Amino acid sequence: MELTPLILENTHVRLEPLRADHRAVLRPLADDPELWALTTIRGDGAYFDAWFDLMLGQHTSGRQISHVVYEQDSGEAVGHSAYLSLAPEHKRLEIGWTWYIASARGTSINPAAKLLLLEQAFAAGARRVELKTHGLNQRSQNAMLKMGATREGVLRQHTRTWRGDCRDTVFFSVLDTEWPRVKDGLTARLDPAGETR
Amino acid sequence: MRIHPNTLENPVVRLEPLTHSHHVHLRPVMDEPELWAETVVRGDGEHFEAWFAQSLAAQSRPDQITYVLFDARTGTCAGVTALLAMDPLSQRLEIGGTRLGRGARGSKINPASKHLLLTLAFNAGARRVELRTLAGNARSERAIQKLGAVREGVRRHYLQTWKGQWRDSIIFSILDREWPTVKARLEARI
Repeated sequence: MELTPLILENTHVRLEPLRADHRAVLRPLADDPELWALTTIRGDGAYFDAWFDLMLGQHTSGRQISHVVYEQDSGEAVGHSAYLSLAPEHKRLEIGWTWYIASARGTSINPAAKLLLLEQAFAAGARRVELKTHGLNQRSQNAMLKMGATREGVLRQHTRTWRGDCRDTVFFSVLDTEWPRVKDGLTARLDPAGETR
Repeated sequence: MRIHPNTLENPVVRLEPLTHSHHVHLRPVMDEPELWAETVVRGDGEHFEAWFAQSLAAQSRPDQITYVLFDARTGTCAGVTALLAMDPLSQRLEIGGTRLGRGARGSKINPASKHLLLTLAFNAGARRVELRTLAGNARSERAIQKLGAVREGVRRHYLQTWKGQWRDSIIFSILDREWPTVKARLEARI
């Protein structure tokens, strides 16, 4: 499994590997406290630069591949999503650090971005893609279930959030054997009428 | 949560942080293929040197400590165990990499060493101690359950053993509030 930072795009979204000049692009989008209500670190207001530096540092060192997500219709940036916990020796990775501005939530943005990220991961030879979220983040858990990921368990008192509480972490996965089914589901959501088939 | 590599001891077992001087103790104990039937790397026979070098190199990492176990009464080397993935921010760590030689399995060595490591972890402020085993390793799973750890889930297709087989990873944990109960159980066994 070898993953390289690439521009990924379909008719709905374009994902650009993170660059230093994305700082100014993401800063205004991240400035919404609601986005960071349940996260390990926050990225709104004065906290943005530390968040961005962490992402860019991980991305540059190869420990993570971060992407800025753009909406194709408007050409506007709408959020961020990354590959992390890359373990090529065991052909697995995680998709995380995913957030979208309020107007992009509940739209085709997230399924379209997940379709691209999962496609690249499984095409590169991944056998397992993990997704994790806060035990109280019902929106995120619903999105993972809707995608067809399997809920595997709950790690209790697992991760400290910036508020100081120790959150439970719910973890999900999609295996290579499940990818065709997940892919069909995502594709159907993006193209409900089957117009382009 | 800050844990330093010190020797730990009770009347049953002594845990010494791994150093190069343990080569001579571990070589014969690890030379048992059954210990490496379900592992990512193997350390028996000709594979010992690479495994030992890798374990020794990992001792310089700030997030893990490997210990060599000795029977406190006889002084015989019993195997290895480790504190892994120590995360001071989230106040958690994992106990893993445990390999006990034939003579030490099913004895008081394992519960006694778990008692030392869990006491160390929770006294240092841990809020969560994780234990994992590969699906199919019934002995390890039984040992973890006997401890009173809570089974939290299964990571499917988590890793590949040196034989090329894919294995699920089963995750258990003990939380700070559960430690008094687990401790009492362990003490009854020791």
